[in-house]
Amino acid sequence: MSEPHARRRRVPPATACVVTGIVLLAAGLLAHVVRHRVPEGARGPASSAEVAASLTHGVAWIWPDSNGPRAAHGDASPYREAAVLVESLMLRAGGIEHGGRTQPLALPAGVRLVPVVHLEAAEDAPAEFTPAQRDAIVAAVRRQGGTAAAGAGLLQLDFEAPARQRDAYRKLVATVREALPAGVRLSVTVLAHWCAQGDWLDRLPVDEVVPMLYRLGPHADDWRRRFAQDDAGLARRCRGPALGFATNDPPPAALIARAARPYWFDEAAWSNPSRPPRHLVP
Amino acid sequence: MNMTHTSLRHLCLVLAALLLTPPGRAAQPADDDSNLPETLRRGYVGPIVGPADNSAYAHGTLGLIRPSYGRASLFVAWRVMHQPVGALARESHRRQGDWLHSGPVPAAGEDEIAAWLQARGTLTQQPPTVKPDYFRRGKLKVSGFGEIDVETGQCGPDAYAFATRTLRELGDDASLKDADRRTWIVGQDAVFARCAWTPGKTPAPPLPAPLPAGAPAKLKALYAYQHAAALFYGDDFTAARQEFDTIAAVPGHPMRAWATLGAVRCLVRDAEWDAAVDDAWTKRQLRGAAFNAAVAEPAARHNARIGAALKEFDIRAKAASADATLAPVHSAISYTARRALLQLAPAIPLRLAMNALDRADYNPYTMGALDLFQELYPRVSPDRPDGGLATALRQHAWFDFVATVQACADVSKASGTAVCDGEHAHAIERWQDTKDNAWLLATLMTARQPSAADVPAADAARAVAADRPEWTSLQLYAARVLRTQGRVADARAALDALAASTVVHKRDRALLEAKRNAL
Repeated sequence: MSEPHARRRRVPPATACVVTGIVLLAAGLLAHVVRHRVPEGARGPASSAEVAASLTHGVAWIWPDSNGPRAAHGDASPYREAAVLVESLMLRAGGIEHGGRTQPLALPAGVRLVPVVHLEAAEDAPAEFTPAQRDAIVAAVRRQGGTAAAGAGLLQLDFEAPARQRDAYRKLVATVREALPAGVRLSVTVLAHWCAQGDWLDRLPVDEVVPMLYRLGPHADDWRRRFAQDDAGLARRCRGPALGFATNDPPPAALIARAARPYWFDEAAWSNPSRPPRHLVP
Repeated sequence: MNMTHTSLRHLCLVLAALLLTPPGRAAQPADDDSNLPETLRRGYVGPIVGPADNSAYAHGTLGLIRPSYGRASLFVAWRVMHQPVGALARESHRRQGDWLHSGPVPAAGEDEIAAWLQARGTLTQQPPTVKPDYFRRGKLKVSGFGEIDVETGQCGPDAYAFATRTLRELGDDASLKDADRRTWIVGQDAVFARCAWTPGKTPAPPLPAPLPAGAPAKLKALYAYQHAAALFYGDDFTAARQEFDTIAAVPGHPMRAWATLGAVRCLVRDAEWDAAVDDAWTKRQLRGAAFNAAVAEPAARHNARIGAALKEFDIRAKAASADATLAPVHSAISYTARRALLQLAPAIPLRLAMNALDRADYNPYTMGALDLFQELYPRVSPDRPDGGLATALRQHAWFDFVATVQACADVSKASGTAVCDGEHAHAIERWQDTKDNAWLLATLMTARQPSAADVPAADAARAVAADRPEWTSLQLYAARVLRTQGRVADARAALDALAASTVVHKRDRALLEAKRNAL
């Protein structure tokens, strides 16, 4: 044990200080270069194989029109958890439209289920939820709380709340949190730009925040770079292990690698629709 | 397009006229794109399915148009290209109504169940035995997990609103006593008790109890309708349809028009057809031609029933429209006819919407014609139609343009290149016939592997006035042709002109630079 120590060269303090300074400076420059000059290969969208590899340890968002990703014959499950949209509520000026999954679903062995309650605000929906709307949301969450407890122990609230409903959304999340059974964790999806609007997301009483990093618009590259680099300007909760991606708009592999818990959405219903195409159904 | 139901032509013409008539309301400022189709909204650009700046695009600044744009975006490009420069710059995109309502969408009122209970409470203090509800609780099977509790809509707000309206009308009917009205309420409670009932575990709640023989004739007539409605909400669509048909066959029956609608709604909830689809798609996992073959017979029966019902509905709607004494319900009948068409024959309103979009000067946003097209198209056609359906749809020049350009959105497969090349030949032909800049653009956009035959199009593109909205895209695609044909200096000139242009969005600058660097 003592041999390495004995072999150290003794270095004068002044020289050590200079060398340390140079090393630190070089390291800083290197880090800067690495940050801002990502190799071309890492900037482009991830390959299909990289997406599939990410999905194997991630979560597949399964919407009502889909039966989810299919495993190749005899292969292991292509995903670890299934975030299944089971209830959907459209909030309107004077009421609620209720939808959600009606088709049966088959999950591969070992896949854990995360029920998703999806909310949408119509253009005429008021800034504050009506009591009936709040009650309907809470009832849906309570209904699915048991599902979550029996599944992955997590329920996800998916709501791209318009800016005018921001305050109502914060209160709603707190109400939803209280409505969940003990032991069930709460996940929320968030739009990427919410992460750059101060720290309000950090104060939400949730266990997981999933920034959705697709359909990002003209500044998609900037947004992805910020998330890949853990930009300190992003809310702390947005820099967690969960990130949401879309298979038809895959981010660079470096960003995928940042997500220890990737969620994947597939606009083509994972090529596994739960219903026939509508034009085939007279 | 396989649009049958020719007997409905007259109705369609009337509805078409209404579609084309925006309500007489002052235009709103053109500063809100929230009513634009999804593919035209800000942010819906990844992958590229629409322009970078949707609002500017819809107002005439097209920038660089890509073959991967969605149908709505390419329609808008077509429309802009057929307008004078600047004609759309100040156009309002504010929605003023929709086709279904033939005018403004009614403002939402109070909750329909609350209104029903309030109206009911004026006559009886006895609450309903079963609390009224819109939803039915059920179980969703998830193999590998178990069952999930779910709710599905069973009785819509319209059902409660209709009951409230009926009760108010009964209140104004001097031939009835309050006891009669309470009897009707008891029957209606029995109907609504079935809204929250879940089939399978318990028997359906009892049907409305028969009336005494001496009950007023009007009450008996209303009871017949309640009985049919209760069967409907108990999922017995066959029996419900028979009873609705019986009512609808009685001249002068107060519920005749509504019974006709009820019969149509039974067809929408066609249990035989639903079971056939479920068996073929979900249980037997049939896809493509195998699925079509498996459901061919039930589909034919389903279509025949719907065709007959719509024909009958059309006859009755026309008769009602011609009857001045039914003037108070004319708008309701028109609304019902539209709903029936949307649900049962989407090809008809789709055709109306596409006809409206044929006119470049028609505002596709005000009455939601473009949204209607977007909503209905997937119910009538696959993404890329073929055969007779394609022929019918492509009679609309703008749709022909859309289909032509989109054919070259994905040429990564051999089949894709063949389709793209076929559409390129079509585009050349159309351009040569029409000398239309939109077809000039289509010619250049589809020139996957440009040849000498494309050079005249490239030269024509270079000659287009720089203030035209299509100029930008024309230069980009013309440069591709010129470069491959050895006219590098001309290609560079085209791209340099583009680079200097302010209408190229910054999202597209990288593409432009890549093209310039490749020279």
